[in-house]
Order: sequence, then structure tokens, then C-alpha cells
Amino acid sequence: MGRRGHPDTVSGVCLLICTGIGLGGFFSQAAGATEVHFSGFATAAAGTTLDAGTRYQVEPTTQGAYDDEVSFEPESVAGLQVQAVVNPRLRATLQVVAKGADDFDAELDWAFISYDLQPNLTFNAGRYRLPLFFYSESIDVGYSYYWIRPPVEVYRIFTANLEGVNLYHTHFIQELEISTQLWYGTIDTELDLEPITVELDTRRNAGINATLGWEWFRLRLLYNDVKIDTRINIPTGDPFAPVSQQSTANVTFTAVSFMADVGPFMWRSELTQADDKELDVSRTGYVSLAYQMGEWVPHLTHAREKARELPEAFDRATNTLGLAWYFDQSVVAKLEYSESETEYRDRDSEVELVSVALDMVF
Amino acid sequence: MRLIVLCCALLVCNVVLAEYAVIVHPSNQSSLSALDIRRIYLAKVKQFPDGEMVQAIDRPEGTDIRGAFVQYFLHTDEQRLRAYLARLLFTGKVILPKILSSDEDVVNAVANNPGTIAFVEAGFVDPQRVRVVATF
Repeated sequence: MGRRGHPDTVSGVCLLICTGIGLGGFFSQAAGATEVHFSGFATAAAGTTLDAGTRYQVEPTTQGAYDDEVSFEPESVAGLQVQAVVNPRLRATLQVVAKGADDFDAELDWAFISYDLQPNLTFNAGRYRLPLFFYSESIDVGYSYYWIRPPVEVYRIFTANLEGVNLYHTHFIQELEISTQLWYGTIDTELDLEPITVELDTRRNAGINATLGWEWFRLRLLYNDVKIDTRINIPTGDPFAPVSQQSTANVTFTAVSFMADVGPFMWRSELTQADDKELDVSRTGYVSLAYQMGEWVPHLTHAREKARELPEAFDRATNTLGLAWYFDQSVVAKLEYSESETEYRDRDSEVELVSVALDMVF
Repeated sequence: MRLIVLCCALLVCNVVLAEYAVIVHPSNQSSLSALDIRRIYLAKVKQFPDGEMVQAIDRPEGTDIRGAFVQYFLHTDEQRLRAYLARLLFTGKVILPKILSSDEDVVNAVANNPGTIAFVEAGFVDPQRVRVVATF
């Protein structure tokens, strides 16, 4: 089970970045050395569902899921980042991520060049993570949120890395900060869900998000439009006659997030909608409250996912109770219990999950 | 009684001595508000109000001066700041500032580089070489 990168694109981007770094190194003799910064993150996680025969999917890009026996693979991840500052306006970012659910095969998840057109306007080109929801871009970095994973109802939407361009702009009106991101790109990925393979080919993936920030309050709005060509290949036993199904969908994502840090309280909430014009509208969302007591951060989250047709109605609600313990610098231990109830095809099912994780950044 | 007075006096002295200063190069004549300093250290701006590119210098986590700075200017604590910066760092949006542990090194770095900003113990400030833009 896993993702397969597209070697052509990966090596193409690599070449582009390496050329960029190489040139920087060459010219740096005159303009001061290219600075190279290394950083990284890692998560060791384990979990199990509490009832025999139940499964709980946790990882959106690898489809990593826990079952009724303790496993370590689904959410364990390690990433290494290199940033090369060629000059004050030009830099390159490379990030290699290895996921347990992918047998720790290293993938080049981020590889892009940034150029500051103005001090508050950056142009980026290359491979980057689709900035769909609040935590979509940093979803692999467990340290960037207090949960083991942000609510799966919202974040299980397939958000792979895309190849394309984006603009990042920051503007201030007195105390208010407005940051805007505009992007355009394509995603070519293959999901290997043995024995079936799913080819996802998105063209014209365009969107905008805007974040309004004031002190530690943040309101984020998103609009993203995408055309997805899906091809499902089902082996029939006869290698010369595999069955494949092809479909095209136009999906529009809209979302609003509101985050607030007030004293020891941290509030996190998001509401998203995926509108597949012809077929279905699905809505997801969550509300979450955490309370910081020094190194300890207990939190409670309610998440929901609802689809009208799919082909039948789908309704899922999850409650998560968790505790994060920041016992040392740059490392946090997390423990969570989730109970999830799903109504689908007139059947109710329940899953309970217990998971633990250690997240670090360096 | 005398001991208590002495203890109190020492405590007060300690508080006065432990004052910190935010410093820039003397050629940098920008007037920086607490909000400007906050935006620089939260990586929201890349230049001083006069247009000069910013090179911020940070101090090691867990030190008194860093803790005081984060609380006073950034209105948060180091734990939450780390999560905030992790989100920006691993999406390639920021280059984290250089960290210097010795106050002398910080003063030297600021005195020798026009675009730098840093914070040090007030006692290390040499007004001939660096300019104080805020104290805390």
C-alpha cells in the first residue's frame, strides 16, 4: 500500500533546484556564500482500535489505518528539510519525508524555489503541499498542532503535493494582518490499494486562501477549484484484460477556519465543504478546545462529516479526548482516545481508537 | 529585620539589573514599536520600516532573556511559539533566525551588521556600537 512518486517530475524538480543551488554557489564567490539550513521533524506513533475487526483510517496521503492490533506504521513519519538561501530574495526549499505507512520510502514532498518580488510578496515555483485547510501544509509535522493528528473528518481528503506556482502576500492594516496565498498547479498520483490501483490526475487546481490575524486570533477563508480525472484499475486475473473505470469530476472546496489563543485556552475550529457539482455535497468540520497547564495540554474535540448522497447518505461523528505533554524542549508526548460513530446505508458502526505519539522538531 | 531589608534590597537590585534591551545597528534610525518587533520575530515582516532587510538574532530556548522576550513582545510562551514556527518553517515560508548564546557575541554581531536586530542584557549595551530601540 502506498503512493508512487513520478520519477520524471521528481528528478525534473530536483534538477531545477540543484541548478538553482549550484548557480548560487557559483555566484556566491562574489556575493557571499549561499547559506544552507537543515531542519527536521519526526513522529513515532502507535495505536489500536478497541474492538475486533474494526479499522480507523488516520493518514490521508498513504491511507494508513490502525486495526485491532497495535501497530506503529500508520502515522510514524520522519522528515528532513534543506533550505538554501542564495541571496536575500532567492531561496530553495527541499523536504524529504518518509512515512511508516509507505514502508518509510523517502519521498520528495517539497521542492520549490522562492523569489521575493517585494519584501511582502513571494513567488514560489515547484512542488509544494496544497494549502487547502489550516493544517494541510504542516500535516506531517505533528509538533505544529496539539493533537496526534488533526481531525480526520476534515483532513482525510486527499491532499497530495502539487506541481505548480503560488504567490504569498502579507499586508498590514494597523494591528490587523492579512496574508493571502494564490496557487495554480497539477497533481499526478497513483494510489496502490491492492489489488486495485487508483490514478488521480488533477488539472487546473486553482485556489486562494486569506488569513486575517489579530494578536492570537486567526480567521482563514479558502476557495479551491479542481478538475479530477480518476482512473480505477481492477485486475481481472487476465493480464491482457484488466478492467478500468474512468471518471471526471469538478470539485469546489470552500472552508472557513477560526483559531484563537486566549490566556491558557486554545480554540480550534474549521468548517469545510466539497461540492462535486453533479453528484454530491459533503460537509466536514470540527470544534476543539485545549487548556494549557504548563507542560500539560488536555484537549477535547468534536468532529463531523456529512454527505447527502455517496450514493447514499453518510454521517460520521467523532469525539476525541487527548493529552499533550511538552516534557522537554522540542518534543511532545501525546495520548488520545477517539470514539467514532458512522451511519451509512442504514447501518450504524462504532470504532474506538487509542493512540500515542512522540513528536519532535530539530 | 536587617536581614530581611538586605534581602529585599538584593531582590530589587536583581530586578533592576536583569533589564533587557532590544538593539539594532547605530546606522538604523527606524523607530520600532513593540508591534514592529513582534512582527519581525514572528517572521511576518522581512524589512525594517525604512526598507532595510532584517536579520534577526535569536537567543537559546529556555534562557531567562528568551522567555521574557517571548512573553513581553510575542505575547505567548516558548512552547506555543515553537509550534507556530514549526508550521512556518516546514512549509518553507521562513528561515529561522540565527541563535547566539553569549551577550557579547550578540552585541558584536549587531555592531558589525547594519541589518541586524537582537536582544541582550542591558548591562552589555555599548551605546557607541549599538542603538537601543526598546527595553523590557
